[in-house]
Amino acid sequence: MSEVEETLERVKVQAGVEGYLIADQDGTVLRRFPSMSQELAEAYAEAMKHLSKKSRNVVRDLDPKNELKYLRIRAKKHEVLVAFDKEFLVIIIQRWTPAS
Amino acid sequence: MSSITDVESTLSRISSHKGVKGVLICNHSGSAIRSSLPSDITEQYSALISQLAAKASSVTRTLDAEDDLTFLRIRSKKHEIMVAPDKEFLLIVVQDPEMGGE
Repeated sequence: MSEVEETLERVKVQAGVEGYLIADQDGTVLRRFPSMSQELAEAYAEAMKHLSKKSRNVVRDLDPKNELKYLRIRAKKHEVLVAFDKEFLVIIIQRWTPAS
Repeated sequence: MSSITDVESTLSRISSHKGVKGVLICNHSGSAIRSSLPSDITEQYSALISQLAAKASSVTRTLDAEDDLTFLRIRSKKHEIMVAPDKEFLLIVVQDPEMGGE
């Protein structure tokens, strides 16, 4: 558990990180960034659960032996990073600026 | 609006990058417009990725009504698919997952 905590701490202090959450495959929020509201965390978990299922299917349709590892959704204001594991989804929300 | 030669030169610039397996342009309905990949693969990618990008776009807007999808990056074991959506088209680049950096 402490490895998880350590990693989350490292993520938390990155500039631009506005939120993170860890959810299970059903979209149940297990851990979230303290300043994120439970509602927002649940909204993200639910949205990412659906999107990740769809992405996973697309990857496997294109190549049955392939496997989705990571999804990066960049929007005008934020970027959402989603990392996958057998049991969990790790979702990080950060602000982004164009590379110089 | 880019001229045909601009488009062609951009496509060939991207496809000649190390690690790039293919580049394609399709519209939001999944019809391929240009591609450096064989046509059957192109069709598959265009259809599936355009749907996925549409979903990602709607998720983005659901989470924040003022926000909008600008880029999508799908990393799997075997490759990385980068999708740059536009009003009318989608630019899709497929590359080796080991190539880092934007």
